[in-house]
Amino acid sequence: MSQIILLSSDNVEMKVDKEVAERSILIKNMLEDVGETPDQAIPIPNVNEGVLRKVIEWCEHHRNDPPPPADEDSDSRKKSTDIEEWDQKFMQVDQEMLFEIILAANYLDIKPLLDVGCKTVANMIKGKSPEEIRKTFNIQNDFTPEEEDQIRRENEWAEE
Amino acid sequence: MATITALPTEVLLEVFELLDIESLTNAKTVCKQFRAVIRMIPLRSYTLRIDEPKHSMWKFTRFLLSDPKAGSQITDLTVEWCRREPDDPDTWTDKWEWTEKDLGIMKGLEETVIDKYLTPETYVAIKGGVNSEALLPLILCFTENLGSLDLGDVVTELFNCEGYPEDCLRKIFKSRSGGGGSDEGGKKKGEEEEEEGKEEGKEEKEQDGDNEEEDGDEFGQGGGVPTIILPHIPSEQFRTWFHLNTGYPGNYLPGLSRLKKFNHQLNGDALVAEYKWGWRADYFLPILFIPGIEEITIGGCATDEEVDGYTLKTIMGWYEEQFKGVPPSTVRKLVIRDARMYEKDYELIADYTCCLEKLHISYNDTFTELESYYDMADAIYVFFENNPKLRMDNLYVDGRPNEVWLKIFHDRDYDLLRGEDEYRERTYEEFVEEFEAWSQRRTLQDGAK
Repeated sequence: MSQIILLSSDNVEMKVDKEVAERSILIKNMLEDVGETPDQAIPIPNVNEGVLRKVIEWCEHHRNDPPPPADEDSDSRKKSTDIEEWDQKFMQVDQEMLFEIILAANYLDIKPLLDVGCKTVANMIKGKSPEEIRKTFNIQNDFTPEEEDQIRRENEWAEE
Repeated sequence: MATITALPTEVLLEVFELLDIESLTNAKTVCKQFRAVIRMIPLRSYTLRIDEPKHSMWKFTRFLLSDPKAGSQITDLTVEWCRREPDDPDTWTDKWEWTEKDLGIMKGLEETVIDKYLTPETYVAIKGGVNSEALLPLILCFTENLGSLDLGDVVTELFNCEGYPEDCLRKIFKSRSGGGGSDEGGKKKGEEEEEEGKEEGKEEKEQDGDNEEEDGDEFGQGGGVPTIILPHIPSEQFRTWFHLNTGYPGNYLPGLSRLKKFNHQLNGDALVAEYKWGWRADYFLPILFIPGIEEITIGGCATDEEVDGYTLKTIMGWYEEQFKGVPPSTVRKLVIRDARMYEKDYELIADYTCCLEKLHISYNDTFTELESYYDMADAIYVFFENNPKLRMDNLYVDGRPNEVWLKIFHDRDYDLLRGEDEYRERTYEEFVEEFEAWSQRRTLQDGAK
């Protein structure tokens, strides 16, 4: 099994199976462009060591997953926020790491990992009041009272 | 440090698209960034609950008034009818009050939208705040990308309200005049012509103007109960505000101009002995001629030649005159359930279709059976003649086996197969075989075009 070396943003080298690294469409395309397995480390400038290790851990566990269905837009991808058990545990990290993983998955183009991340965040929002959401994510309320009034009116129709 | 607000818009969008409407509503109030992203989520489909006590129709309308662009994201609308007892006004939806701001927004829309697409009476009803169904045509002014409109089963109770829009206007009028019980008996039934109708309206206005002057301001000039006039519809007929405002070829409600799919049923119980009428079948004619319409399902519609002297044919004459030759309908699938129409009505529909692939017709068996299989076969024959893609397999009429029609075709020596060869005697079996071959060839030829 051929291996490649990834270089994190803080200059740490990591050896991974090519098959595992290719869960990232960005890396897969890069390798295809190069044509042969490179000897040098592939720099991943946006992802630090800790995050890259997490991402590789996920890719290792999911190395044999079937590829996701081709047409993403189809209704087959339901609006479910169910997450399989292993992934749930994997995502039990602090918020900073959670968002770093999501950003990395987005940058590296690992769609299934991005999905798990988004579902995790969606579940953190679900069922919470606006104030609770602000608290959860440490967000400042930047609306003026007039704007809040306007939003309340917009929202009226949706309240049952 | 990475926080949720550091996520790029496309990722946040993905998160929000996973949320139910309630969570989304809450999330929208969190901060400006969330709000901006959530506004990018298409609404796509929405259910309108007519006469729901909590005024969801009205709230939804206010939402569209405050953000008209949101309407263009809606592709599917489903209507649910919540009306309760029509005879007991206490069970009707409570009045709602527009704010000055709402009324101001509507005023601003008068020239471009309201006066263009809605009848003046509808606008009175909308402002009156009594009948939430009147909001449906207004909502449809903002949903120009609507692909599917499901009117659901219009409820029996509503159906029993004779002259329902007028009743609504009366109620508005009453409530404005402090419940002064003016006599409604003055409504004359019968075969009023358009002009007579107008005159009657004037009379009413004058009368009411004398008694209740203060209403003048609320309703513009005159101040009485406006009379609703559609050139071809007697005022006592059942119709909804939607029916009154559908529009016509060249001037549809914006929400109907790109419609592909339409469903309008009547709760089956409505057709009990007391009410032999369904809704007037001609309300559906404008829908039939929406350019690009693909699927129409209607139920419980009726025509009556003996009493009111109208059939689809007479109405179609009116359309032809108004709009100078209407092009044939693009409908591909047509389902007409529990209808009470004449064979000639079906023939008219057949005359104006050319793309049909599927045709289902069933009769309201409480009252009518086919008057004549031969007349119906005539209509079906025209359907086949005009619709090359229509096959016997996709035809269902009155639950009869299609042999019934084939046998009549054979008996009558219809000229469907003429041109294939010289006229000759065919046995029934030969006829069926040739019909099938003819039918297949036409489908292929049409496909090749």
